[in-house]
Parts: sequence; C-alpha cells; structure tokens
Amino acid sequence: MLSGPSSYLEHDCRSRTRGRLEYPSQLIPNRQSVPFCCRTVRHACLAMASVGTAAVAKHHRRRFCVLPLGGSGLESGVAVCLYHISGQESRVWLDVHEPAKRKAGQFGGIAGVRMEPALACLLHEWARPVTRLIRSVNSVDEFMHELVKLVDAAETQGVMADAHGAAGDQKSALLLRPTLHGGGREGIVRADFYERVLHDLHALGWQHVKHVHASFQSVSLIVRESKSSNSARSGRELVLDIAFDHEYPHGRRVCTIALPPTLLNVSAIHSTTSLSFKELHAHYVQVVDSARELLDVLDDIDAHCAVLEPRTGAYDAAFRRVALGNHSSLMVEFDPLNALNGAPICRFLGAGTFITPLQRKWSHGAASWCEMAPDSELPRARLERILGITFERPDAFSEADDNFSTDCSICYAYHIEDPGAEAAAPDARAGSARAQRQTSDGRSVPDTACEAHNCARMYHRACLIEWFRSLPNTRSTLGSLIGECPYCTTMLLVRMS
Amino acid sequence: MDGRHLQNGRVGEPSSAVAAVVRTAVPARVSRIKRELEMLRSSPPAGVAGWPARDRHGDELLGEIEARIVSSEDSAYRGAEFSLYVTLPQRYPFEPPSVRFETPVYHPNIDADGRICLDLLNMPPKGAWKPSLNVPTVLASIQLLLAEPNPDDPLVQDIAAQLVADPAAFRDAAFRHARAHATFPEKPKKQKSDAGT
Repeated sequence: MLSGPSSYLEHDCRSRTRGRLEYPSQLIPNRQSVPFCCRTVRHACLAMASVGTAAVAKHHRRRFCVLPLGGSGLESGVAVCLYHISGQESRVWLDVHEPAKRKAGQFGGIAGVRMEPALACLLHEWARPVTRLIRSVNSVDEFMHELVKLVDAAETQGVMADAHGAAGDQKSALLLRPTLHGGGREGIVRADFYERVLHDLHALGWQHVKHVHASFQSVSLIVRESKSSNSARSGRELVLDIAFDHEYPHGRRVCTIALPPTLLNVSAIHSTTSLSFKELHAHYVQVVDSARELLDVLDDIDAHCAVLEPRTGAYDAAFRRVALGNHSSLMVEFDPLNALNGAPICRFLGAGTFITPLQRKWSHGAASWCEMAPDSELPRARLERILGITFERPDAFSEADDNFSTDCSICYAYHIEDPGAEAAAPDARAGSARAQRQTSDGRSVPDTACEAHNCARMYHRACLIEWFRSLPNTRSTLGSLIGECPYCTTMLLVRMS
Repeated sequence: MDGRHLQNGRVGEPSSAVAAVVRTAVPARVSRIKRELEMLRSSPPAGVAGWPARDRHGDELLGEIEARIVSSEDSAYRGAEFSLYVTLPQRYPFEPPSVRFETPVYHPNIDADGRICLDLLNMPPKGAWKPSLNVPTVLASIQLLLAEPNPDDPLVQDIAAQLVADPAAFRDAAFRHARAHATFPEKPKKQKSDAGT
C-alpha cells in the first residue's frame, strides 16, 4: 500500500549517512536497488517520492511535489514545489539536519527553510508559526502539509506584507530567509516537466532505465534485443542515450545508440517528432532487431578472431580488423543491411610476400560469395574457406605482457647496458646466465622516477641523460642535468655521476 | 667497443652499412624496435599497419619498418591506402624516426619525394620529437595529418594556396590523385552482379 511520500523522504534523509539507497519496494516491485551513481540515486529517490505523491494525489488534491536536486541548483537537502490554490507554483528549499549518531535512521529535523521571494513575502507575517512548525515536525512531508495550510490561510486573509517591511523576530529571520536566487523566475524549470519525465520513465518501467543524469536532461535506457526463436542465447543489450530539453516530450531531442549510421538512417525518426520514452524505446527495440544479422556476424568474429580494431563488442562500426599472423591483418567491412549474404569489402594490410597471395585468392573467391555457401555458414567461416587460412584466435596476444609500469619509459626495457660498461650482448634474452651475473655490475635498472604523481614514469638514468644531452636547452648545474620529463614535461634533475 | 655489440644486433644488415654508424649507436634502440614492432602487431592504432622491412633475400632489416596507412573516410582521400617507409636512426629514440611516403600524395605538407613536414619528425627546438613518442603514435599522427592538412606550414606552396583559396577543388584534386596512385579496396558490387547471373 502506498502510504504517502513521507516514508520515502525520511528514508532519503536517513540514508545520507549510509551513502547507499534502497528503493521502496512498493514503487519498484522487481528492483530493490538500481545501479545509479550515488548522487543520482539521491535525485532519483527524491524523484520517486514525487511519483509517489502523484499516486496518492488521486484521493485528495495534490498540493506539493518533491523535485530532483539537479533541477533546483541545490547541493543537499530537499527541493519542493508548492502549488497555490490558484495553480501557481512556488519553490521551497529545506535544509535537513544530519540525524544524531545514536538516533541514526531517524529524521534529524529541519535546519532551515528558503523560499522564493514571492512566497517569503506572503508568509512574512506568519514567520512565528512557521518557525514553530520547523521545530515540531517529524518529517518533511508533515512540514509541507502544514506549510500548505499556512499558505492557504495567508492567501485567504489576503495579508500581503511588503517584502522590505519590518523584520520579524531574529530567530525566524535566520530560519526563514528568501532564496539566494535573484528573485526572477527565469531559469526555474516548471515542476510538471520533472513529473512528466518521471511519469514516462515509470510508464516505461525502471528495469529499462540504466541511468538518469542529475540534470534531468538526459537518460540512458537499456534496449534489449527481442528473443528470437532460433537462438538460445540471451538477447544483446544496447544502451540508448536520449538527451532532451525542458520541452519534453516536445522540443529538441538527440538519441544515440552504438549502431552503424546506415542502419539508423533507414528508419530514422525526425528529432522534433513528439514521442515519449516508451515510444522511443519501442522504436529502438525494432532498430536493434533489424541489426540482428550484422551483430551476429560481428559477434562471431569477436569470438573467434584476434580483433585489432575496433575494440571487441563495438557495434557502431560495421568493420573488423583481424590479425592474420606475420604482422599482417585483414580489414573486413560488412554491408550493415546485408551482412550475412553481401560480399564484404576486404583490405589486406601487411608485407607483400604474405598479402599478395591472399589478395589473389580473394579476387577469385569473392565472386562465389553468395553461391555455394550454405546459409548457416557465417562470413568469418566463409572468409577462412575462401582464403584457405585460419585467422588468429582471440588469445593470440594474451602472452604479450606489458611491463610499461616498471620498464624504462625511454628504452622500453628493464635492463640496459651502462654505456661505460664493457659491451655485452645487446639482446637481454640472449645469454641469460651472463646477463644475470652482470646485473650487479654491467647493467642498470630503471632508477629515476618522474616526480609528478599522475606521471611517475620510471627511467634509466643513462637514458634520461642521453635525452637531455640531445636537447639544446638543457641546463646543467653542479654535476646535474635539468630537463623536462618526456611525457608530462615536469622538470627533472638528474645527477651525472 | 660499441661496435661489437652493434654488429651482433644488426644481423642480416649488409656489413658495409654498419661501419658508418657504429660510433653513435645506443643500446636503447634494440629494445625499442622490438617493443614497437610488438605494439604494431598486437595493438596497432586504427587504420595503421606496420611490419619489419626485408631485404631481397627475405631477411628482416633491423630498424626499418614498412607501413601502410588507411586514410579516414571523411578525409580528402576517402579511405585510400598509402605506403610509407620508416627508418630508425642509430640514435633512436633520442632522435626522431625518418618517415617517407612511398605512395605519391597530393598534400600541402608532403612533397613529391614523399617527405613529410610534421613537427613530431624533427628534433627540438625546431621540432617536437620526444622519446615518449614512438612509431605507432607517429604513424597515427601522419594519418591525422592526411585528414587535416596544415596550410600554415606548407611544403608544397601551390597545394597549400589551393587549399586556402578553394578547399573543394583541393579535395577533388587530392581524391583524383589518390585514385591514380594509392590503393582502394575492391568493391564487391561487380561480384554481386556476377553471382546473381
């Protein structure tokens, strides 16, 4: 049962000390907690409270709703929109006390209230009751209910005090001060915008929502491929980013999803068509389904080949560059609309001796791309058959470990012969027994680090000295060289001895 | 004394070439070459390929790299492929690599002999070479130079003037020039119609 927004508000106030929020289960039945970022959780939780308010409002006329902080220019506390009987809106900002340690989990009390100037004027004569209210209430919800009553009373009495009139008592003035906003209403977004956004997200279902930006101007939705009958694998999930302005669902809107542009252009919807999140989401489910063939082909390559570019799992590019061994690679580009049966465009990159025979095989074999190919054969297998090779497997490069953090950042090696020492084998791996012995005398390890914390690269002293000596503007003082770190240009001092 | 280990390191190089450069060789060069070839093999920059050059007996030439750059589709060359030749000097990485286009390019910063005007390829103070750069990053920069010519520092005055005065004519001329000299991938259209009949 929904009991009103108060429980959520208290919940939110409490959770400030914990840093983690759980959604009230009545609001999101199938999700106890949603992976929002910490700050956004707060916004979204407050936002959820306003959805709750909307739900309760069926029974009695709704008089206030809680706003997301992102839209209120407030770092902490609670932003509330108060509706006057006339339908006008006023903003109220509440600072909430941290609850005392032993009372953790309870409402800590209201520390202060800020109001829009117009509302502050209206309540000028009522400062004392408001102050009393602030001290006595047990929840934000209760406070707002009582405040609405006071506002109504003030409006019916027609008591309009002059904003610059006599000040009330000192304590009240401290607690009840007009907002820091310049007084004008420009820049303040109407509350129904937030309600509309939240209502539509709610209608779409929170399981499809990945992230709501704190500014409430963009959301990330999860678009799941609908289940196909012939594949047992779980559907792919793509992220749809929607940026919108305060006119939502009208106004300008930008949708981004990681799929090739050609595929998106086929069924593009005009950016000014008014569509809700649910309608947009449904449209992009269709788009993702239409890309199924291409994504199957790309996934197959990613699973079976050593892909050099783009990064594995990137669906916005309809090409893959796969390693062929011997420093050569094949760049294969598919037609996004006919990935399975259209012949791809192939570029062979590498040494001529290795590449030329493959190019010849491809020129002959490409003609028979559509013929003689069983339907079930994916392009990767077809390419391997035509070229008569197997592509390198995804684990081809796993053994190449990067020791960039410990190696010298100039010579890319750990051991290096001191220029003065008697010559040893240049290859560190050759004659490893001898190399081991010489570590103490003939070879040096990276021993100089860049002082900058975000750089901290290691160098052989000999390498740095060699580089500094190559530069015309290096200074030398008292047997030391002063020059810039080649990576971050922090000044380094190296002793020459 | 430096000469002995250098000769060991330069297996497969004609020995006459070694003598001239023995004095200035640095030990860092060998480890750099090995690591950079590995970078080109396992994690090359987008649209860049590089592999060790070989002499006519098929032996690898240490410190010489053949490279191929695929220009971006939005550049004037519209996806054309260009061949380059990289030579790492004896004092590499304390001196910049020398990079030359083998494919003729119509570009204000690349001359008819394939020489490239790019600050990364020169020593300070005139240039901006640093040991923090390497062959993959230099090749990626050259790919960027293809997409964004710099008419303010031209090597070929005529092309730079054309680029400033009439960018559309420059793009047109550059693409026609690339059509004549550079490589493009085979379009599958012809084969598609063959397959249909």
